[in-house]
Amino acid sequence: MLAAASSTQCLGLRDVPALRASFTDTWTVTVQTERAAVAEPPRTGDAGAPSPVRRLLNRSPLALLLFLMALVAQVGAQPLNNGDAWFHLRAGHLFWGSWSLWHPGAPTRFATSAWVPTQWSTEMLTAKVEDWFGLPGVAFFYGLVYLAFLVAVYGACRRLSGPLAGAVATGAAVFAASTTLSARPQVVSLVLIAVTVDAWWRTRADGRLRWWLLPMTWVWATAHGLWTAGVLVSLACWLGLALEGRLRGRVGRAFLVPLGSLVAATLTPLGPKLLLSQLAVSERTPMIAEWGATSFRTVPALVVGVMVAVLLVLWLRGERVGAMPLLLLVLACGWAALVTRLVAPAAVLVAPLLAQALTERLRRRTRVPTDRVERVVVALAALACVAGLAAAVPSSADRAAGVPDAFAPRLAALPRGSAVLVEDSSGAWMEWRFPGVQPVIDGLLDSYSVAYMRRFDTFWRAEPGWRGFVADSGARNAVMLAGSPATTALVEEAHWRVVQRDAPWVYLVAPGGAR
Amino acid sequence: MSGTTQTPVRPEDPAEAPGEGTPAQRSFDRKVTAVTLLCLVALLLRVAVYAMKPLANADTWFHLRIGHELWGPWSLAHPGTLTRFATADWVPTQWATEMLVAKVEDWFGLPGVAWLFGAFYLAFVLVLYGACRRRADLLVATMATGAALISAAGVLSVRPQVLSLILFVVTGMVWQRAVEAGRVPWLLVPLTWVWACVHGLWSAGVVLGVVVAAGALLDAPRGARPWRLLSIPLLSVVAAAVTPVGPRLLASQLTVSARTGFISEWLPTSFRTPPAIAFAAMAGVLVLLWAHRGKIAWTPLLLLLLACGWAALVTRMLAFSAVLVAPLLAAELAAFRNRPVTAAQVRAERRTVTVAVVVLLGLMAVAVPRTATAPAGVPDRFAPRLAELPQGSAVLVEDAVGSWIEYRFPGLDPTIDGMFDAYTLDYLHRFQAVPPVAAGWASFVRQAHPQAAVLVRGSALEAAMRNRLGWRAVSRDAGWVYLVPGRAS
Repeated sequence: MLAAASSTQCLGLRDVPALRASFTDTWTVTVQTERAAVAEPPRTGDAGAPSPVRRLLNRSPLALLLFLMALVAQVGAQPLNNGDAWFHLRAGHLFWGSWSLWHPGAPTRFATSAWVPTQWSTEMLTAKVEDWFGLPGVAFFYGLVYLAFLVAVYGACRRLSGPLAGAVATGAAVFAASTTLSARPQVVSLVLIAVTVDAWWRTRADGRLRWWLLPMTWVWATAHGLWTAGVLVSLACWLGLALEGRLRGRVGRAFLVPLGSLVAATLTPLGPKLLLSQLAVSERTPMIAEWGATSFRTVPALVVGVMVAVLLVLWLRGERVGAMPLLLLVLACGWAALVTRLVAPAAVLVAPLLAQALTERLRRRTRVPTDRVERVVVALAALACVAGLAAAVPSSADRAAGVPDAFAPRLAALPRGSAVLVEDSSGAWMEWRFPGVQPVIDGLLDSYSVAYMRRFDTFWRAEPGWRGFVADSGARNAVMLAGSPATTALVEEAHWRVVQRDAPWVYLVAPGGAR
Repeated sequence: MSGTTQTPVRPEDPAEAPGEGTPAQRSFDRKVTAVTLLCLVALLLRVAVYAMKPLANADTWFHLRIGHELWGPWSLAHPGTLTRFATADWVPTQWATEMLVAKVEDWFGLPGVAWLFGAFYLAFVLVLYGACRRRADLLVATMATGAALISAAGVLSVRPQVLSLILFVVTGMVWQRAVEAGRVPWLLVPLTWVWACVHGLWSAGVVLGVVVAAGALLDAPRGARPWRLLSIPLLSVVAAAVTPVGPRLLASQLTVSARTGFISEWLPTSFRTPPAIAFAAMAGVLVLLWAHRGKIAWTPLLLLLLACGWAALVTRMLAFSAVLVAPLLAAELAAFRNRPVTAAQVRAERRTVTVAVVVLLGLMAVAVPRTATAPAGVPDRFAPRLAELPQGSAVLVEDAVGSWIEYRFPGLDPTIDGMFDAYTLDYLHRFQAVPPVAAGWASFVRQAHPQAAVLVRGSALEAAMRNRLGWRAVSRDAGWVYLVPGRAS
């Protein structure tokens, strides 16, 4: 044991008893951690039967986890309200119909740029679910993915920590990801990032390479565009393990995992052009809020900031930290600082590190519940959440939320092919609800040329040239935000009339009436 | 501060550290020293050249105007307003610097102001270098200073906040020496009094004191905890409350915090800007080095967390974060370069830096009368038209050009300037609709009843004024356009 401890000391594993021994799955780790904790001599006041307070404390991690599960299930039971959900559903339906993966069509006639579908399998799956079960089915599906995300993060944390630290770190990660938990394919990426990082922690512990990451990346590359995050995590972990000397004689072979993952992504039905889609995104990042730089005054970023701060205190007050954890932290900090959208993936990377560091701090103060109780409770709670979700969604998620539903009769009455001025994601809802209507923009920005998006920006800001954009669009109807610069310009300068309101939107028609 | 002075290099005691190594090694070290000194001088030269440029920061103009008014009819207790639209009560938080700069302008004009701030910039580089040099050798200290300067570059402008940066570094050094010597740094109490007269960010020094004192308490063994250190931040707050402005100065911090949403430099930092990237790189390297070493003392650890928190949450605090991290980074990097120096080397270094600074001050004195006589980045071509406007005319502006109008034409009332403390929150909310031409802009313009407008060329507001209110553009200058009401309007 002493020899094992010294060999792991520089790797950041020194105080986690379970990781000193060989193991193959989560539950083995749990057992060993618990045994180590239970085997410690009782502290003053611990002798005899545990007090009710102590028993309550023992169960507190599970209570926290169950609370988180209920919270996440409740989020899943909400009506679909993310603007992008609608164009994903529309795209999914069209992929089952007239579109092909190689030559997808345009969501509106204004989307004239060639684009690569990066999340087609999720879109097709959710579209089919909608065909079968309607919007409640879609809400249920994403609710399941949210729960899978929670369980995956907890599993990754739990492999390195005790239940309390695992639950606390999972809770922090879930809060940091709260704004990302929406009916969009990106939640699949969150789950798979947790799975990937967990796989590498297991490799670090037992030395076995997880080749199944390659086919998983293949699937991921069809499900969502953030598969590259998985490749980056693999690369960071490979480098970290190499620097730690854990890959003696196998550095090259281990490198095949990130490299093979990259190759796997090029072997989807879309072929190597999937890689080019990353460039299309980067061209448009300045125009997409969630690809903008992070503000650390938002709750998710603040939570990640606090997680990193606590981790740094725990690490730097202790012994040396290993290369792999350090590289994962650097990657997470880079993501969190540079891109709003990557705050949630950063939290997923930090959570296990935090859980491990907290465990070292709490180890002597916490008695963990038995392995069997934990497994059974978690499984039953997950089942209960799934059942609750299934019972709730038919009534709670049967209609869209956060959309200008009051305008539906007017929009339905428009002739096919009518252009409609919009300035926010209500365009995506319109495409889904009224496939014949042509909003001037939606959230699928890859399919719009950069030049068009610049002109749209001029319109949206009511800067010189905005009237040219309106004229070129041919729109005689508009669904705009009340009081916005563009709405004010349409009313004051182009004399459009507000004919209906559905806060925060207004329905406007051009002078002379709609055509 | 305790736990941070890890380097065995003690340049302040050169006699104890005679030159070591083979002759070849010593020769190489001498060359490295010479090249590094050249780099340091080049850094100072770069700063001096920057200082020779014409004054271009928009806030400079309202600081100068306030300074002049405080020498004149205004009092610290009841300052006036720069424009009739600024109707909120406000507290002068940087009056000493403003009055000093206004007097320098009276004596030497704008070149004098440029020279004075050039001297401040050089002083800042020197104290920052001194803070790093205390913990590391010449090469490492120069590197750390250079990196911190990249982060602080955006703050180096003709505004009182430069003095806050200098005083912040000095405060850090005083704390470090005091904690190392086991003394209480009483000097910081009068220093904070001065700081509170000079600029509003004296509170950063108090926060620094709280953090250092907390770190020192945590680092000290039980039974020997220096609780007295906590009296310094407390007394510093008291000192700030007894300046000529009185205890109202403390409340002014709340005024600023209520308006941070309107001021870009008080917004959260974007880590895609070079200063933020430079800071992140410094902090990242420091964390990697510390993680490799382990068992970091509380004081430097808390200082790093303070720096990271400031840097992440407030753009303006990035420079303060960088100067906080630079000495920590220097100390850690010094561990990799254990190069004892001789007394002669130290003397040569001091001589070189002193001569360089004196020469650069002289160079600036010669250059600024030619390079900094006229302001830059202002619509100077509109001056004759603005001068012809009747006293008390309102001028519609949408950016910080209002400050220059107030400075140049004290009789005019621009609709906004950079002195947001002097505007009510309600007014600022209403003004917010004007530049993007959102709902409510037209009623704002009607109520302001401007006789002219100086707007950003090609902006949405310019287009709206012309197309919707019938105003005419009569002159253009660089990025601005001068508009007057059309016949119909």
